[in-house]
Amino acid sequence: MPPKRMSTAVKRLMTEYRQLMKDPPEGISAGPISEDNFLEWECLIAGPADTCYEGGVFPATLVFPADYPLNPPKMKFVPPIFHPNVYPNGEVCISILHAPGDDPNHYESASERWSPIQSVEKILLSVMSMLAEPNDESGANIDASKLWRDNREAFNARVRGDIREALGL
Amino acid sequence: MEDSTDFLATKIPSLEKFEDNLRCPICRELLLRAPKITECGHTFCGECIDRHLNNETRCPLCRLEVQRAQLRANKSLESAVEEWKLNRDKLLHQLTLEQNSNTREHKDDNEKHEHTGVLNNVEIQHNPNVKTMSVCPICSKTLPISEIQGSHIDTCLQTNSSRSKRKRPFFEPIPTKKLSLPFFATLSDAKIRILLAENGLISKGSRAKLIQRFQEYFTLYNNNLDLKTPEPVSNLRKKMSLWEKTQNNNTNDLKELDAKEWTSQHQTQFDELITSAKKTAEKKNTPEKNSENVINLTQTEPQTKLKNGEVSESDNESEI
Ligand SMILES: [Zn+2]
Ligand SMILES: [Zn+2]
Ligand SMILES: [Zn+2]
Repeated sequence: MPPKRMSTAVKRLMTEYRQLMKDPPEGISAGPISEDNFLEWECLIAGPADTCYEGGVFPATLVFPADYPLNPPKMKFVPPIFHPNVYPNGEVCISILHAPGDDPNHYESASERWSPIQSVEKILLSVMSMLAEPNDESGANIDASKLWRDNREAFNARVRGDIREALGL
Repeated sequence: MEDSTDFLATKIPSLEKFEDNLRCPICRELLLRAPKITECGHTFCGECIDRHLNNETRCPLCRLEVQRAQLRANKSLESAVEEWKLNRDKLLHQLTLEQNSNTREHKDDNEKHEHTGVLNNVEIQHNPNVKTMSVCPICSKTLPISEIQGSHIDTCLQTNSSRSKRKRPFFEPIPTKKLSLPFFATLSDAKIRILLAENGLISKGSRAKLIQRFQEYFTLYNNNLDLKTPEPVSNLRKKMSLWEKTQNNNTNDLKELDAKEWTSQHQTQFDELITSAKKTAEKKNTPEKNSENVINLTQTEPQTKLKNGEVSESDNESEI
């Protein structure tokens, strides 16, 4: 049998994918977009219960670097969601997605940042808890941060409106 | 394709946790390739921890400071993992059978079939009409002695002369001395290019690329010497050309995989997430608040889950 020449990144992602299919965490689904490229995934995250995101399903993409898992993937909500820690272009800004040397907000401790032992599953679970509890120290979306801090009712209403629109209701 | 979750469906599911400890936390492969232990007591493949240390000088698991010079070979664990690897498939098979026999009643039938199989073999061996067999010294195939001594050996010599050179490069020397990692900051681009060329590597690209290339070669080269049976340098060069490919573009050669199957697996999950979300949102729209809003969104159909070991059995040999 000729050994297949696959990069560590692809092998690791195949293992992760296999495990995610076997035992998917609640409210999360993820997998590679096409058969030609295991370094680009799409995922769906269900809004956590008892939050204004409840009832929504939010599609996102994960783009992995060639040296994954040494460096983290980039995650982007497509379309962008309204959230204090999500840039207006949809890119997610949470500490687990930040490589050791890169901390845009200068508040994260090294222990929260990316390490090669993290995984797609851990990223998506962190994003779930980010939806439940925005971090107001990191303002990726200034408007969302302000509204969340100053007028929670209006913030919740805005998010719920977006969800109904996205689901075509 | 194998991973520790293979044991979840067996009689002893906790072996998943056990095997996790025999795998590198970085690449999730069994710790068979010269594993190294850090000062903080955590073990990784030599290559994986080396590459990680180019990025960050902390332990990936506990984030304590780690120096490359302080890494040590974890030989006891390596031997344990070797033994585990030798017995893993047998054990997995046995534990799966035992698990199934608890739920099914066909076990007796299976055993009977196995028995008759064994008996048949024995009969064949004792059959005086069967020719005396021997192993061809060139291709290692088991054939009747008359055939080996007849036409086989000539054809075998011809067809194998080119192949065996490739497969078993006896005459290619295995290096014995390790490379040292230069202090790049003091080296000019030209010096790094010479260093690369001296090692038979591509010497083109940006300064950052030149350094990354040498670091990768250093990792492969020195860890190779820590293996029980080091590979010849030509194999390392092949690995370097794979590395070059993964650097240049993000396409990875998955043609041989049944990747369509892989990628379609999660589509069903997607559809279900969306359907349940719509239901939830519709309920939310109705005036009275319903306490049954919390739906388990990942209630996937059984057919979307992978059956144990079913996916890409052909990928067992995925080592580079
Ligand atoms: Zn490893
Ligand atoms: Zn450690
Ligand atoms: Zn000793």
